[in-house]
Amino acid sequence: MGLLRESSSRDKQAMVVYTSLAVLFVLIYLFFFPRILPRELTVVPAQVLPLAELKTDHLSPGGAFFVFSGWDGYWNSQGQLERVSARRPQSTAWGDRLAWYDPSKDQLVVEGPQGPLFSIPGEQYPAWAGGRLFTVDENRLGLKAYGKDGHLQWAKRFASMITAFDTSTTLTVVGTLDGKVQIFGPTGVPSGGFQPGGSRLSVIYNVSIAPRDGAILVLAGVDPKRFLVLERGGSEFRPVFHKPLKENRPWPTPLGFFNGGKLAYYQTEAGLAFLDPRDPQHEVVMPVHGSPYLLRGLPGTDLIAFIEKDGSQAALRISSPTGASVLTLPFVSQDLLLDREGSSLYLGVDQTLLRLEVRIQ
Amino acid sequence: MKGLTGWILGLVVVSGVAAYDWPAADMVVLRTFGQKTSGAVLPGIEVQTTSPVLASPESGDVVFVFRPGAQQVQDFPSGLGGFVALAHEDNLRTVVTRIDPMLDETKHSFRRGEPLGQAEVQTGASESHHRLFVLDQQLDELVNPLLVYPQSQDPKSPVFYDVKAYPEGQGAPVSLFAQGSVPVGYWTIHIVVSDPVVVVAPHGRERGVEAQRGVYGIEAYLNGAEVFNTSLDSIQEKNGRWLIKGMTAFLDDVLVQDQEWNLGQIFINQGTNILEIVVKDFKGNQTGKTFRVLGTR
Repeated sequence: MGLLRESSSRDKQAMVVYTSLAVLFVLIYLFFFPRILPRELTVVPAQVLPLAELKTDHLSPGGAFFVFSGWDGYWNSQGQLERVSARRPQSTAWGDRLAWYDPSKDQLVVEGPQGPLFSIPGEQYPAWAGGRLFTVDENRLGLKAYGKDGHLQWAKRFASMITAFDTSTTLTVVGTLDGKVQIFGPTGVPSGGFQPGGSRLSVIYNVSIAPRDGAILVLAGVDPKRFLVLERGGSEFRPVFHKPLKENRPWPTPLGFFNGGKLAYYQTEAGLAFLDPRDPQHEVVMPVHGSPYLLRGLPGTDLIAFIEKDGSQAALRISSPTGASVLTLPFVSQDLLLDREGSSLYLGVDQTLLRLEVRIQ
Repeated sequence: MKGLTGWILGLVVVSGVAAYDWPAADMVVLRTFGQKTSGAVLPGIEVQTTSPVLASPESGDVVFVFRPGAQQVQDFPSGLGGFVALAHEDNLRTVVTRIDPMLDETKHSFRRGEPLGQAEVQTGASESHHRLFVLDQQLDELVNPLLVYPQSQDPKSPVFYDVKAYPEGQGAPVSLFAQGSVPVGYWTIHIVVSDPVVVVAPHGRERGVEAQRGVYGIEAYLNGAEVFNTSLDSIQEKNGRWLIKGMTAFLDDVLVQDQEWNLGQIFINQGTNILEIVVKDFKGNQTGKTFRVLGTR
């Protein structure tokens, strides 16, 4: 048998030194140049909830009301249904507030988890915006804003029909059929306005105001329809960007903000466009089949969930603002609901609620 | 241009020639422009029809379509249901409501008489009710739709229910039908009037239904001097409130309750005062009342 290898104590020492150096190098590299592994999103179907009458004497605080198809109800902070009842006339929900019209008493009722909070006499058409209660005139020619306790803050009449409105904590923006954007302060005092030009016919299709009043987005006009960004310049909002669109649907199409106003979106002919409202020239367009609806930001991420709908064909989609599609879940439904409660995502599919557990690891 | 639009509207009224067609041939006007019902002013007209389809009143471009239920964005409620707004060549826009609009995304204009949508009919009803609005895009006002739609039959004249005089400051009103003398001083005159109409009987019913419509014009004269004169041609917005074109007082201060108009303050002198009030409907039927009011000290 020949000698294969001969080692000495000196070789062993060298081996220990080299190994120690290698371990040290790896440790230093990881410490000074850490590489964040991408977090993984998983959406797991957690519960199928067929909608049927469900009554309870007491609703847990911290949940949210919903209105979907022929039902209104309440789910708690753990994402469990606590109440489901046949939809009341003109019922509409925002968080833990539900407004509906009681024809037997001819009044609008606003309730929370603990029961009725206040009522407003007469037939009213309630609408929530930014968590604030508004009532729309029966002919869409007037708007009333209410405080949290139901006191009337202001009332306005218009010479043309209201086609869109939105509110921040302080300002309310109203778009009308005649193509005007009007802005009102907390007490209803006019705080400027704007009438976009550049189109053959003027009309406002949608408006959205950033949470801290930094910018207003507008979809307006026919031939062409235009996308505008208004920014506050002194006491007035002025247009800083406008872009003609090939998209020409004559009804309100999606428009709004995410991340506290840092990210804006609107529907284009090519899909859903994301942009920084401070740099509106650069946008990312994500192709969408049909129209995108019910856009919701996923907490703890910069991901956006929405439903795309083309006829009865629909899909739940989750995407990043860079245009990357993360998840597509096709389904068939006429009525749509997409809402978020804690780590749960509720998807309404006709007469059923599907609770999806969103995990980000 | 303002003058031109006014001239065209005036010509339409004078000549009796309608600019537009009714969205359905058998439309009957139930509520008139500016009429107050249950405290709410209607700045359009409410009509009734048995037609299942409503058509475009005039050729025009589609400006706005609202489809409740199908619309997920800015889907706030109102009493209008689904509606279509069309822009016409004369700077007027018409809105036909409570319909299920045609869903064709490629349809961007309608010819006169072309179907706009199916009528929304309440369960069990043979007829449907719709609200029609006309907006003047140039003058920025809501126009009386009867100025552009064909005139309908209306043989009845307006009716006075009461003429009340309110003393200056607080105090109970006196009816000038019951009392011919009042103390000298300032009095605010209110009139309660309406325009009765028999609505044509719907299919399957023998008799028509009597309805109360609003009046179109009111004039008042005190001792021959005009103290009030208005015609409900259009409504404008000022400071978030409505006013009848040509008036300085807001509409809510003039049309104070259903059928009750505030004609403003007059001064009743000592002796005989002649108060003449004339009300007319849109067809031109008019009713006048003359009161001999004795001012006493």
